[in-house]
Amino acid sequence: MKEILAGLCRVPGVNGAMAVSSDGLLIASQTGLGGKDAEEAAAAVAGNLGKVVGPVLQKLGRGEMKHVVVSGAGGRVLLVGSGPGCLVALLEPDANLGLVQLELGAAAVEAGREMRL
Amino acid sequence: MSFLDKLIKNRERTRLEEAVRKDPSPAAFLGLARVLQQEGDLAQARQVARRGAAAFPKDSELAQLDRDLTTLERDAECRRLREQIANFPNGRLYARLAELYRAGGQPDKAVQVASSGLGSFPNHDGLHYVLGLLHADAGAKEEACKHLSRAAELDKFNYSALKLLGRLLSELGRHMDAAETFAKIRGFAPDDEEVKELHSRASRAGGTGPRPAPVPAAARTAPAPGPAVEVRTAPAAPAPAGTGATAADDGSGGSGNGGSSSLLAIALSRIVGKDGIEGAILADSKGTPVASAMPAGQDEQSAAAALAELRRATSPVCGEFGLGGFEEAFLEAEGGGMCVFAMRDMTLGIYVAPRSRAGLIAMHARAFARKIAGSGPEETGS
Repeated sequence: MKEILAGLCRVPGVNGAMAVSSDGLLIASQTGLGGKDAEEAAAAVAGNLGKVVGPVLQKLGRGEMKHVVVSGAGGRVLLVGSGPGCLVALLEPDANLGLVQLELGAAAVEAGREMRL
Repeated sequence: MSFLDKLIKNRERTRLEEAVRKDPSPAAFLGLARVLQQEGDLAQARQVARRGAAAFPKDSELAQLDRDLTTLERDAECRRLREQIANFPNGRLYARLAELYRAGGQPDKAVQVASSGLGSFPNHDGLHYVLGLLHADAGAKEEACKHLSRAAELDKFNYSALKLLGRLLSELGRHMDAAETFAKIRGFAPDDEEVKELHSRASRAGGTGPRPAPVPAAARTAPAPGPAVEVRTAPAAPAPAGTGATAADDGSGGSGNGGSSSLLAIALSRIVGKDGIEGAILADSKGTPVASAMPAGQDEQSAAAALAELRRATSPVCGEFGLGGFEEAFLEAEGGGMCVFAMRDMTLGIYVAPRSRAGLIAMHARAFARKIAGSGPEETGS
């Protein structure tokens, strides 16, 4: 898992990445968010987001969730479902979103396999 | 650069990245920013320097590097825009370039660029707005008012232009004109407390009470254009018997909410159909619909509730991941997507078709947000 995340962090514009279980627990991370507590808190909100977004999108008639991009003033977070959990990438504000989506999609398949093991 | 040099540089960068991640220090941030700068990745270098300056605010070297890199990046962006203007000129590029020169402390150059842009694109509201700003900066209030009025004529929802125009008119002693200008803003942003205050102050100075916000012709000449969507407005709270349309029709003004709500729905319906936008809804923080242009078969009440739920789930992500304030979220699903935009206390939700271009959707949403709340800078131009 560490290797998958390290590979993701090498994509231009990606500041960090984390794998989160379906219940919002941190599986692995490479984010430099400032300590384990901060990473665990971030994993919890990311896990919650993954959990809320799916049913809400269904309710709005949009179907199965593919990915979520959340943007703030200082950057973006990209979240994709990965097996039973989700994979999150922290992006620079001007990152090439299309490229990161491609890489994250591929990494999510791989990470999903790991999570199921 | 030889292969060996590249390898050494890559190792150095990886080492510094590790240091920034695991044991951040001013030296690590400085080193990494400089390596990235040498590699020509100015945006990333500035980002690192900015993070470093934020983490170590007392380090003057980091602060200086952040400033230098910001200037370098701005210069690079100016070069890029000049090239684009030379090849494919448009008003928005001129306006952006003028804004960059203004931000870089080169007002003369900014005026020159904006004036030259207006020579080619005389009806670009963004260019009139930038020129208005520049004249206002220089103290040429009459000239500034001329351009800001034109910007507001070209885009009657241009919050920033109207607000600055109102202020300048007040400063020039033209209080009645200022009051009329603020009333226009209140027509589409009735809850803006600052504008409400400016409006009453200008009205008092002009010797009358605040006039009711005008109802633009668009609200009276509905139906709005667009595809098969249902345009709905929330009833005005202080006048429960009346719908938005009724408030707009009687023209009495009242609290202004009915007309504004109707206007919001019309503004929403205008973005529907563009670039895969299937519908849009504006909800308040409690999940109550404010206005909507819903896709067929969608229930407004539950959509507003779902939207508030999405906002509640996405906002903390920004906080925990250190992204600053929540701005927007794009949720893509198999059967289409949903874009969620923060508009102060309210949330704008946009239904988008599968494989829509997120960038274009964001552009329309920001244009809408700018019109309604003045929340975005020069995003869409005309």
